[in-house]
Amino acid sequence: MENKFELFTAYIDKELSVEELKSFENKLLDDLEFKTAFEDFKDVHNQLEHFHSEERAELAQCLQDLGKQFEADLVDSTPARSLSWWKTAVAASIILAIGWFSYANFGSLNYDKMLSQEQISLGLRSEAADLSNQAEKAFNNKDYKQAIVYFDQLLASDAEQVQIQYYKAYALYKTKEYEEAIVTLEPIIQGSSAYVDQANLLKGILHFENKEFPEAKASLENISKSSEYYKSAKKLLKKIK
Amino acid sequence: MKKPTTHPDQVYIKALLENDTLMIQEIYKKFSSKVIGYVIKNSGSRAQALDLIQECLMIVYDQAKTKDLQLTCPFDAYFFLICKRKWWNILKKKGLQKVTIEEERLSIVDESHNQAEESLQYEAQRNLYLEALEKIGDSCKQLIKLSLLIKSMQEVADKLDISYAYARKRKSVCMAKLMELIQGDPMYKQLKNS
Repeated sequence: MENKFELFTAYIDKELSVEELKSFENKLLDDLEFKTAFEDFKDVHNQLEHFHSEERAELAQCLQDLGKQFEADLVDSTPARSLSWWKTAVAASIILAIGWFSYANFGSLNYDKMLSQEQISLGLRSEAADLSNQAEKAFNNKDYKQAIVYFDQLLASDAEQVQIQYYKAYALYKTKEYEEAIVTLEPIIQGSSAYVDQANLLKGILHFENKEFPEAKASLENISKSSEYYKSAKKLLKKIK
Repeated sequence: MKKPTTHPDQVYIKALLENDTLMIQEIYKKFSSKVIGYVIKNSGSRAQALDLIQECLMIVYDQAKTKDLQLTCPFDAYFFLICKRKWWNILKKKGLQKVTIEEERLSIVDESHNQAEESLQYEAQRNLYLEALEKIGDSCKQLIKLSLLIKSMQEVADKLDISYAYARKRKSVCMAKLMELIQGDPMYKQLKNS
C-alpha cells in the first residue's frame, strides 16, 4: 500500500490481509509517529461515524419528542393569568372542598400520580422496532391486556430489559393481576437499575391493595430517602399505620 | 494523584446511552427547570431553552458514546454549566452577550467546571471535524458519508457506480484530504493540547 492513509482506511474497514494486519500492528508498536497519526485518524473516523449513526438519530428523535411532551405538560400546568384574585380564590375553595370531601369519604390515593406514570415512548430499537411500537401504542391506549402480550414477546428476545419488565408489571397491576405483577417486579427489585425504587413503590401498592399490610410496609420502607418516590411511599405508609 | 471515582449520577449518562425513555423523562423533570429559568432570564424563551437542553444532552451522549464519559460530579451542576456556557455562546454570536455570566468568572473552579469544560471542548473538536467534512468538496463528502453509513465498500462502490478498487483508493485520498484540513486548522492543535 502506498501511503499511511490507505493503510488506515483499510484497517478501519477491516480489509487488510492477515499478513498486512500483522505488519500494521507491529508498526503501531514500534513507530510512535505512525501510532499518533493513526490515533488522530481513528478519532476523526469514529466521531464522524457516530455522528451519522442511526442510533444517534434515534436518541435525537426521542429527545425531541420528550422535549415537546415536557413543554406541553408545562403549558398545561401553567395557571391562567387572566383570572382575577377573587375568581382564583373561589376556584381554590371549591377545589379544596371537593378534595376534602373526597378524602374524608374515600381516603383514596392516586396511584398513577404516585408512580409518575405517563404515556410511554419505547423509542425505535432496531430489530424490535415494530413490536416496540405496538407495545407502546397498546399501553398508551390503555389496552393493557394487549400490551402485556407485546411485552412478553419483547422479553422473550431479551429477558433482561428492566424498562419492559417494569411496564409489564404496571400493565398487570392495571388488569388486576396483582400476584403476577409482584412476581414480575421481583428481578427489578433484586437488581441495581434506576427502577428499583419505582418497582418497590408499585410492589407496595399491590400488597396494600391486597390488604397484605406487613409486605406493603416492607416494600415501601425499602425506598431510598433521596428517591422522588419517597414522599408517596411515606403517604402510603401513614395509611398502613 | 487519586483518580476521582464515578458519581452515582452516572445513571443519567447510562440512560442516554440506552435511550431509556423513563429515565430521560426524569432528567427533564429534575434538571430542566433551572435551565429554562436561566434562559428566560437571559433574553430567551422556553422553546429556546428546551432546544438548548436537547442540544446539551446530545453533547453528553456523544461524549459518553465515543469517549466513555465517566461523571465524577453531580449531573445537576455539570449539566447546568454546559447549558449556561452554550447559551452564552449563542447570545455572543447574536451580539447579546450582556448576560448574568459574571458569577461564572467568580466561581470556584471545581470538578463540575472541569467536566463541563471537557465536554464543551469535546464538542468544539467534533464540530471542527464536521466543518472540515463540509469543506472537502461534494464528491469526497458523498463518498465518506456513504462509507460511514454503509459498512461494505463493495456496496458503496455499487451505489456510486464505480469500481470497488477505485472506491477504496478514493476513500483513502478523501480521508487524507479531510485530515489535512482538520490538522491545518489552528483550533485543532489548541483543542488537542488543552
